[in-house]
Amino acid sequence: MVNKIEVIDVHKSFNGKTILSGINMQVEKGTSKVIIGGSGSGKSVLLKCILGLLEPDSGKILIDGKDVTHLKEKDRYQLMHQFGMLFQNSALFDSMSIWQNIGFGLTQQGKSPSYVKSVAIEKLALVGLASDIAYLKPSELSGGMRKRAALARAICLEPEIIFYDEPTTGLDPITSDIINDLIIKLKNELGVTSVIITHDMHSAYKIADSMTMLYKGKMIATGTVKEIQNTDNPYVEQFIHGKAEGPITQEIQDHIQ
Amino acid sequence: MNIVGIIGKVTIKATAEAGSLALFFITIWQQMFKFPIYFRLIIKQCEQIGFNSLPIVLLTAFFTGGVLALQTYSGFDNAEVASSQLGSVVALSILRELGPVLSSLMVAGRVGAAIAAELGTMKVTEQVDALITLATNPIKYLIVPRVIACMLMMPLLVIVANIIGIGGGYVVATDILGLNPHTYMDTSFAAIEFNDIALGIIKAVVFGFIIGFMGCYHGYKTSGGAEGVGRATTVAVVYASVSILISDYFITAWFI
Repeated sequence: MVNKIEVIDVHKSFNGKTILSGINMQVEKGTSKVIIGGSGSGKSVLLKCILGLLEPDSGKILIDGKDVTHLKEKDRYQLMHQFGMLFQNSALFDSMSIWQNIGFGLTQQGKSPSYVKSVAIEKLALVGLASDIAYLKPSELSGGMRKRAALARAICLEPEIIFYDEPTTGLDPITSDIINDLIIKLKNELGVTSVIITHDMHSAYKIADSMTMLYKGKMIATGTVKEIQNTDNPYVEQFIHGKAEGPITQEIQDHIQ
Repeated sequence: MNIVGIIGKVTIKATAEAGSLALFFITIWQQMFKFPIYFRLIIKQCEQIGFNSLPIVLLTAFFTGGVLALQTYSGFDNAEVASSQLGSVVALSILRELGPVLSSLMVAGRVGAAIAAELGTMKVTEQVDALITLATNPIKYLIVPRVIACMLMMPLLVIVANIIGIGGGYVVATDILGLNPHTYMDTSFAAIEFNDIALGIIKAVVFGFIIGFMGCYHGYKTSGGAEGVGRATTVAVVYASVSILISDYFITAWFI
């Protein structure tokens, strides 16, 4: 299989505090990679580095084998057309209606409002939302609907890679599973490569082709769902089973003392 | 911490802030002249910044003119001198200083705060990041239209404020102080030169830029949730107001 994304020895720190130290990761084309890890482990920063919202201090990010770490502004925005991103809190533009949000990318390309509206309604149907929602404002929707609308916006320009930042956080179990199914559907039907950050293990097992665990800015485990589930790494074991006792909490207690 | 340490820390912070402001300034100017130009957004911002600020600017201008007439009149020794001078004093004060400065301070409070709060909220809710992932430059899409609208609308607001301010002075001078309306208007217009009007307009363009720039800068650099948005809003208004007063001195000094 061809690697769609390659992360090579990426380091990133803020104000002297190391967030990522030497991350190496590959995501194969058309597969989904789930990145797990506790809060503050550097997952979101890694995602923003791959997306180009943050520039790594050192290391490389390759997309389709091409180094995209230090792109010029014009090339960076050009590359963004390949990406779709579902933000943790949806990040819908609250000054616009749902169809304007979904079709934002198309509007920027100069497409007519009637065309944009029709595509937006089509994408709404793809994520399981009725067309009358198109005319509402984001504040009038529930959390789950906002997330689905944000997903519709992320897929509107038919990106090759979709990034999901905690897609199921804050949703009820049924809506979470609907989002999981959508992620799988997008991968299977559109052939997109997915990178998903989550700490919802049920969701992770369902959608992942491969998994990676980050801990204190380092990758401590990578493998298939089965390999992660049968790990003998005590940190991973504590995390995936959600145990209060284990090496992760022990380190926090030692630090406090 | 010793005194040298404190001075050092403050200097480093101030230099970093100045550098950050300068870089932001350059970025805005670079993006201002690059395609695409979002005319529709500029017009929308003109409506919000200019048209919607009219009531507050007009109210301020009218009462400023009125109180200026009252205060100046009471300062004159006799009524004869007052009737021949009051019109010109009010008109020149409004055109050169009070019209542009007071209107800009009111707009800084209304518009500067609104811009900082809106952009700050967009920043902390990742809407700015979302714009970038949708291949849209946030400086070009969010900031340039606001700064241009401020620079276009402020002179227009000041022109209207000048007229209403002189009108306020006229109403007070003739209806309350009992001065002759014709003499008052004649002395007003006789004193006004083109330079007085031009000075007010130049100031308005500069103040408009300051309001837009400070609102956008502090909004765009917001971090830290709701508290950060509140801080950005306050700082934007304070920085804009202080910068308006300081630049007012230098523009006047340069012009005279």
